[in-house]
Amino acid sequence: MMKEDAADAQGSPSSAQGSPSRRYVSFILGTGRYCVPVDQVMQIIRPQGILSVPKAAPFVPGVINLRGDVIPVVSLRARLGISDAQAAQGAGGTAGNVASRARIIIIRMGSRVCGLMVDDVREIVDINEASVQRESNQEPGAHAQFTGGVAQRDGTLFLILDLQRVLSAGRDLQGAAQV
Amino acid sequence: MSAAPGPDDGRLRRAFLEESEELVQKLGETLSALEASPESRELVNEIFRLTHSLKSEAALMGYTSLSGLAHLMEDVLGQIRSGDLALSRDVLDRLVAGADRAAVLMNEISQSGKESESGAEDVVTGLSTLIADRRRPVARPASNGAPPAGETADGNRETPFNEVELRRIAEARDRGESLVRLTVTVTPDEPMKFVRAFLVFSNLEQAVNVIKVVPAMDGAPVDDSLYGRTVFYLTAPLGGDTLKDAARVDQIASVTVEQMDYPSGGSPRDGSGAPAGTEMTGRTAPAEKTSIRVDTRKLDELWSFVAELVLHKAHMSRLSDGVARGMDAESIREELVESSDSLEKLSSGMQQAMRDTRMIPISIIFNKFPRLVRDLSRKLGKPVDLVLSGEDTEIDRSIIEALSDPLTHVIRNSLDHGLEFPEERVRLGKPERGKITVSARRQGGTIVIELADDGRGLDTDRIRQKAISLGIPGAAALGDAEVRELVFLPGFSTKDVVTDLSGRGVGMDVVATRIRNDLRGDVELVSEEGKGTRIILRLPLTLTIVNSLLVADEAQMYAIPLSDLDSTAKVPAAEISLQEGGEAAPWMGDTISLYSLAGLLGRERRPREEYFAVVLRHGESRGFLVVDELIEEREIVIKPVDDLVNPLRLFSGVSVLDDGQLVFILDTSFIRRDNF
Repeated sequence: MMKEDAADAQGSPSSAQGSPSRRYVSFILGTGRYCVPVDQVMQIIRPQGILSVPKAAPFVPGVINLRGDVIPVVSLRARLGISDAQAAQGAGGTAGNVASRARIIIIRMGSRVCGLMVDDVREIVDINEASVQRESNQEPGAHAQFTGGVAQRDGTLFLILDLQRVLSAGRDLQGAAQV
Repeated sequence: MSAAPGPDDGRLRRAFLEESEELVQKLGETLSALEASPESRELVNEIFRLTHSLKSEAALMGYTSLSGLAHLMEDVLGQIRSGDLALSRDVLDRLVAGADRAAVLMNEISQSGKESESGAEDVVTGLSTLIADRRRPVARPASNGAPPAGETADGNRETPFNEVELRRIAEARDRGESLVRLTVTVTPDEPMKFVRAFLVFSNLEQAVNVIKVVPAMDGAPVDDSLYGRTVFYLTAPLGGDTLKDAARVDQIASVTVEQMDYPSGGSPRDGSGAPAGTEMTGRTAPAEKTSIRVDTRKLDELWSFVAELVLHKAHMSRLSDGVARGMDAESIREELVESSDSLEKLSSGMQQAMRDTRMIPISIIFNKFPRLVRDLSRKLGKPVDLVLSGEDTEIDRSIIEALSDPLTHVIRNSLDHGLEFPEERVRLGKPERGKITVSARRQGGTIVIELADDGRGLDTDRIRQKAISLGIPGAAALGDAEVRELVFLPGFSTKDVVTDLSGRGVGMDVVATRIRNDLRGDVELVSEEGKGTRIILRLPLTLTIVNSLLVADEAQMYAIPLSDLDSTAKVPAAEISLQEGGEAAPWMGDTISLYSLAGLLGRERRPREEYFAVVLRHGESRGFLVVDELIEEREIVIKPVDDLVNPLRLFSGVSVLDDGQLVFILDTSFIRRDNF
């Protein structure tokens, strides 16, 4: 509850219909625009010093040591099934661009802290809660599984990630769990 | 903010500032000198004068915080001068803290013309408790002759023991125990003073006889603020560490332990005073400023970081000189990069070392159990044997505090509801005395605490029935494990349902909430009807220190907790045989399974004529684990590892070594799984 209130307080007061808006950090993955709530973002860093871990989940390239805490890094592209080619396209053509713009968004979810590797971090957007379409049937496939809603803003489509599902190490990891 | 002098007092203020700043500075210097030669009466006199002047100056200008502080220090020094108070290390520390505080206030005044009205209460408390103790009856006759008549009378006035208490005191005297007054001051800004004082109380209860507590501790506190300063009258075989240990609770600002004369029979000094005086040499314990007690080894480690930091500072100033002398950009860049790297390591190392100082053994809680069990067992008429193990297991002090209640609760439940009465036990063919075992151990990144009894266990059928009657959806179809989980449901156990049904008592939901939500751990209840109940708490800790053996697979190091190791060994390739379940090799006249680290990590083992291996153990199970290299034993701090990186539960945690290298801790419980 507290958290929501805080987020609302941060939200833009310009919400037209008077419904609350929430602030998100937007980023690029492949050709799409995605976002996560700003109040869950702790920090954004350049990817470096990722230590790979044997038998980690397939979309986890490894861990980083962030001031003494060991944090898993999730490749969102791998998680959402986005190809490298799409990523290159989204970043303006070259693989080099992708590498130089890639960032790790450190997010906190409850007591967990994880890094999300994304292709490029963009602006912070205020999204009116009322404009969020919860049942998304526009983006089929892996996306639908990991997005908690879609919002349109100034002609751009923002997919709001469902972090709970993105970071779940539950059932969908069973595949990986077979030795 | 206190009332600052009027605006016209500019000149006066300047004079005050000049004068007082000098006083404060001298105060600091003289105290340092006194630290070096604590025997010097001259220095004590000098400091006394300084504080006196400071008090007057500050009072004149209306700076009440500063003058009050100076006044306190003056009083303390007055006592030292008169010999009423020994100049101990602790007293010195408090005076130094006072002088530091005075400097802070002085600084505020010179900056803004105003002083903080609050803050640094611990400093003030630290000093004022010294003065509050002035009238302690002096136990050691040699210290300064006969105490003035007023003092003991005063002491008696403060301790109005009733008849029952006096009888208990008399009994204690016959046993040769000492009567002690222990005063506990809670940090002023602590919101739950009663809780802190109560923690001390319950600790004391385990160790000694508490005769009386002022303010009283029974029932809920009427006014929490009353417990800012709590006085315990108790009797104990000997003073010293036991008492101070008991008061080792967070947010306790100070603890004073004073020995008292026995109040009974005639003159307070006849008979009773003398034996006590010989038992307890002089002042039992100097007042303690904080409750933190740190292993010197840990301090040494911190100190070594400080030394490194000093080196680092030197390096930075050399670099800065270099820049001034026109050093080339490339070298500057290199040096800076290097320097920032080492600073990074240094700071994370310091952080870790600092965290280590927070680790204390779980015996702090466990030590309460014998008394608890003895008392309850007597009260309920159920003879019980209590078996404790793993008391040395170190855990973070904040977790210790949060654990105390749930563990006590579970034990209480075992005695209350789990164990049968002796007659019933005999009828059931069980030993007459019940048994409760409490153990703690570290299992990789978790602490596992098990509380088991050999009582009647849970009657899952009846709980299920009750769940159905309560209308819990799907209750009829629940398996036994799920039924047991119902015990943790809020509202289920609190309705006394489970109590009625022979199981756990009220409040298991509270235990579960505390462990699962507050401590991010897990509770599991294993029970066999008629045989007993086992409650297993798993606490994933952000910090735990584990002695481990570092081993390597190719270039990457992994750690195995020594508690999971039997020994190290060399296994000739020729001795490895293929059995149904996999590879095995002979060990101590037996054949045990053989695994390899490479295999666990998903690679082929490199063939050799002879392999390095460790012998893993889990309970009675043993198994070889072949590794590339055995490196060394090391104490490491384990942190939890996220499920995302560890879907197979290969690791129980991860540790960051001094040089920043990450080491995963192997969860070797698989050898047990295989044997099941």
